[in-house]
Amino acid sequence: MIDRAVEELKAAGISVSTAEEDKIAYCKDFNPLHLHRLLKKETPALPDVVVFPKSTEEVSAVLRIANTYGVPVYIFGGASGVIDAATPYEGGIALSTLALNRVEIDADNRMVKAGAGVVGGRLEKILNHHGFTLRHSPQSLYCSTVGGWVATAASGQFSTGYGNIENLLISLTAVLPDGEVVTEKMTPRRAGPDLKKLFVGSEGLLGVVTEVVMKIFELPEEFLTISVEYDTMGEAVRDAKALMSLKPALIRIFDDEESIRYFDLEKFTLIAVFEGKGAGSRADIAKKMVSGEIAEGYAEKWLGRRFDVSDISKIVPLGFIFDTIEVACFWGDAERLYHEVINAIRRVEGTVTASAHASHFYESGLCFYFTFAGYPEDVEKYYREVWERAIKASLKNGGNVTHHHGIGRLRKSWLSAEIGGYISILKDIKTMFDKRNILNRGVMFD
Amino acid sequence: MINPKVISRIIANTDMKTKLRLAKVIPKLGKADEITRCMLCPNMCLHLCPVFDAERRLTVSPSVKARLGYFSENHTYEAIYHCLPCDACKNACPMDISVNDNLREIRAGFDTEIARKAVERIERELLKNLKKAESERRDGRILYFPGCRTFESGLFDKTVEVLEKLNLDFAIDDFLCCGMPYYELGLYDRFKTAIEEVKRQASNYEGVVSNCPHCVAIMRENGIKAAHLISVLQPVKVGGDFSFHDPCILARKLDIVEEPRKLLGEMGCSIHEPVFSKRDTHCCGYGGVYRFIAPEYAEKIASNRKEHFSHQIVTACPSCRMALKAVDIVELVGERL
Ligand SMILES: Cc1cc2nc3c(=O)[nH]c(=O)nc-3n(C[C@H](O)[C@H](O)[C@H](O)COP(=O)(O)OP(=O)(O)OC[C@H]3O[C@@H](n4cnc5c(N)ncnc54)[C@H](O)[C@@H]3O)c2cc1C
Ligand code: SF4
Ligand code: SF4
Repeated sequence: MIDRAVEELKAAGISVSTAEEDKIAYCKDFNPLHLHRLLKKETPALPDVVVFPKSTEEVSAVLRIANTYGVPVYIFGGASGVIDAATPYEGGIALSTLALNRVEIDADNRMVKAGAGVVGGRLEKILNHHGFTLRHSPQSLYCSTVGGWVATAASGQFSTGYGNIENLLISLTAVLPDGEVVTEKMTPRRAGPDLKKLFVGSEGLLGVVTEVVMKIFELPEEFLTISVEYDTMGEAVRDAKALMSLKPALIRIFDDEESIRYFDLEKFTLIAVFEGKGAGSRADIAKKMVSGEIAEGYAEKWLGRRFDVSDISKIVPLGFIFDTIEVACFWGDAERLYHEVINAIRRVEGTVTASAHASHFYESGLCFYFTFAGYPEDVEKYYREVWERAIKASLKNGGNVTHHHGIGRLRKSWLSAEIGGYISILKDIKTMFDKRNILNRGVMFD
Repeated sequence: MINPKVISRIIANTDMKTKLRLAKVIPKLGKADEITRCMLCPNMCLHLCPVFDAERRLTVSPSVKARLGYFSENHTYEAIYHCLPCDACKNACPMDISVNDNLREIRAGFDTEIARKAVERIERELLKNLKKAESERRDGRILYFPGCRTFESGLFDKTVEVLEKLNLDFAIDDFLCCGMPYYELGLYDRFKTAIEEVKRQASNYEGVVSNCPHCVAIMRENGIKAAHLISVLQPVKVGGDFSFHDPCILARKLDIVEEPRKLLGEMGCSIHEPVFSKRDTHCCGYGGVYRFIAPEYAEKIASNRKEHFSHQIVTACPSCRMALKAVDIVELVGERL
């Protein structure tokens, strides 16, 4: 089947590779367990073929051919996803979106049209040169793609002020598993069904997003920060809630362990950014409002290091396993949830560090981003146990399963806890769109 | 160095069995080799890599090339050669890792058809320059070392004319290659032979000047007193709107960033910075030997880079000049000298 599909792909003029090096490149996403396989010179999986379509039409042709032969297709953007989603466990086709890389800036209407394979960091750099910004800034900005953001319902560091990817999205084009292309009339807003949102967080189950139109913002002239120290997470969270009335662009609360890492300070630290017109006066009000002790420079320190993930490369070769667990909760549950999840992780034998920061804030609540590192004898067993205990503690204390990384394969056992009865609707939609179940098979549910 | 506060927290929070195991491993923290560390990185410089940007496949992305390097045991992969010595990765890397420097070491471990073919193409190009240099031989205190790409880009005669007008006491000797192509391909024996010859030649002079940042960098790394030509140029009145394209090696290895801007300013030129400038520049595609391995993608990088400019491009490197159809700063000076 795959051979005939490859022949047809080639005949359709699509760039196709069966080279070993391309297969190795498309063998996994960034789930931390995969890194240990790489260290052993093993690949977690291998596709039979990698395809590099250059247009929506070519994506459509790929899916039509794959559908005809029932060949599984795994969609790859930057492969920075952390939930073991696109890993091609059944071989088949790895579909790389990276050649979909056109960028058109519409300065007049404050929007940008970008191919799904455009890499965030480059897009932001080009926009900055023209005086604009996406203000969508996941820590993976430099290695993730526009299409990946939509597919995973990504959230950036400035989401508190500007919203998550779903709030920044104006329009998109997608190709359904049978090759049909769907798009809509672009408009700043519309009533009626907003079905493009089906693709937000769909993790490649329902179609391939090929083009995305997003809002852009003028680079702010004013940019002010505040840094505040606290003795407890509870005090910091209460202040963050109050600060929301001042419309901050960004808030983060680092617990005492992360404060040591970033600021050499064994306290809980809140940083906030105010930007745009009137930012100065809002920052001044904020300083008067907070109950903690005002400090200097922490926000700048973090801003300078916010894309540095080199610790991963330092600890993994020694046999450490790490991961991050991001969950959302309402204000009322925040302090308890923080402590319970940290304790749950610490109780697993092998845990070396367990820490958290609150990273995204809403009128009604926030997201906690837990980071753990362990040095266990059995990496995989330890890893699964931490996840089990942490998600259990989150659900028990009012938290959810995922704020922005997604479900993938890693969290599929908790999908019903997350979306309840909607799971059967999701399955129905999947069956309707993808009768032969070719797209990202095994992601979210079996 | 681990923060002592972190250590005391680990001691307080970690179970005894893990603590005992940790004691053995902590001294090794962060000591893995660069290829391993880079392979484990989520590709945090992907957005800057010009080769990735042109080829649009993860296979040639920085971290995946490191993975392929790590996986190279009995054979190596073509992607190992799909790298420019541009160091855009290193310039942004929190661990200061140059992917190309590491891949070069991998290339050195294998005898490949790719390297052999590239050498054939490069040597064919080099031979063309021999005669031209011979016809211009002259004596002087400073050796003018054009480098092969100066001939290829037609800058040789123009540069000689400028040096004469500047009254520099310069020599032109037998045409030699600095050995860069062999070095980049990991053919270290052949590189050594080439650079030894250059060293011998250079020892007859007070110093060396060259148009080519790569020649200058290689010579300096091998103990030769070499300078980029920009250091001997004098301002002349030119005027007009220009953008300076920083050659990767000029900006990142030779640390020459402000000098060309100062010179252009003194020449009455208005300078418009493109996206990707100064140390954060973007390769033109013609760096190293990539052009002899993947010519179509080298051209793609060049055309991508050209799109970053809306004014006449000036540069200070014969390769960049060719790739971007730019004016070399030597030419600009020469026109009015
Ligand atoms: C160091 C690091 C930091 C991170 N920080 C953040 C953060 O701050 N915020 C955040 O939200 N996430 C973060 N992530 C997770 C990850 O970067 C995001 O999920 C990102 O959106 C994935 O984009 P990608 O292009 O790499 O997608 P991939 O990893 O290639 O794919 C992710 C999923 O989306 C699907 N997919 C990709 N492209 C398409 C498409 N065009 N159409 C349909 N399906 C598609 C894939 O099949 C897969 O299921 C981080 C990851 C790392 C490694
Ligand atoms: S060079 Fe540095 S930033 Fe780039 S992929 Fe390697 S480790 Fe990451
Ligand atoms: S040296 Fe240049 S081409 Fe090579 S990986 Fe680094 S950025 Fe890419």
